[in-house]
Amino acid sequence: MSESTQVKHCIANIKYIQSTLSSLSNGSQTEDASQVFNDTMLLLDEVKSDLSFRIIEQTKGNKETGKTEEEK
Amino acid sequence: MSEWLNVVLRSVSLLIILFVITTILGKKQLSQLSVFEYITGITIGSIVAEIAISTERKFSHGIIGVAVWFFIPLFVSFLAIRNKKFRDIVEGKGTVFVKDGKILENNLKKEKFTTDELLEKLRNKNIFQITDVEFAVLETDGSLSVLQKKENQPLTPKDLGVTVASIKEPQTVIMDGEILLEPLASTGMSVNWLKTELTLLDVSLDNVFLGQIDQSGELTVDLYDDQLKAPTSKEKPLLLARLKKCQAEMELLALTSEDKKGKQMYYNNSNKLKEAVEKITPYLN
Repeated sequence: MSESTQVKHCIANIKYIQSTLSSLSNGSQTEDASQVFNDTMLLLDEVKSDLSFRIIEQTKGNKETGKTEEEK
Repeated sequence: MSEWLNVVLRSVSLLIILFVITTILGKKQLSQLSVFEYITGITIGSIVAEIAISTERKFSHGIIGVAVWFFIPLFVSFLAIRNKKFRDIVEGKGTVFVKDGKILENNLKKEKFTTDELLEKLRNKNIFQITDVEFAVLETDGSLSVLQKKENQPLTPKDLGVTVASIKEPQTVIMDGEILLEPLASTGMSVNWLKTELTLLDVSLDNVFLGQIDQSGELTVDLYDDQLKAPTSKEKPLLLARLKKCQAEMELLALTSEDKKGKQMYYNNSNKLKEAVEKITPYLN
């Protein structure tokens, strides 16, 4: 599996985790639990944007070198 | 009026009076009574018993006696709440039996306690060796409070430096197959949500003996049919597993990436996810 495929897989996972965390945060009875879920969601946002940026960078690099993902 | 009817009427009315008095004077358990409260209880009981069956005595005199024994303790407890010195006189003070791991024999004698009785009280608290005790005090209600030596105290998450989620009492939302609307409303959930959760767990409302919503808003059920295994939600363990998987993948990318900048980014994010896993784990267990 290429690096960008792995990264895309990771982003999909993070999106799933975020949606679960959001529902857990809404249903939570305690404020601190809700706070922890929200903090984790924000942290995952940072990770997700780093990974998205990495994919863009890689796509640009591939276009410049003229190589496809499979060729790499 | 016949004598037996007189006794019945006296007894019933005194029972009511005694019930009211006990309710007003407090709900302390027998073992928690102070000396003063103990004396008051016995005396009121004796007076009531006397006037219930002694028909030759005036009922009104008995009532006056009970009233005196009711108002004086009420006044005393009122004063005791406001004045520490007065409280110490009326309710007494605790007596230290063990200090710095050593038995204070004089205090034992003062309270007319034998060593056997002290050891028995300690055994009731699962302490079999006096050397395990740092401090022990006989409280005014007759109970023994014990502080064990630090090395004998049970480990707590705080000792281990482990973060644990705060606990909020679960709400019982289903009992005997019936939805309890008030507790459900206090959790902020609706009947529709509850029905959806039951559908997701694949159980019918009629089959639920007890249903509770925990602090994280998760529904757990106990079914009438004990042969069936109560279904549990897999959402939280799955979420934690995915988060750990993500962190592991990030670590792998950091190891395999040839680009220095990318390597560093994966490494940083792997650490961030590791931190998140540690922080969120207590809330997902």
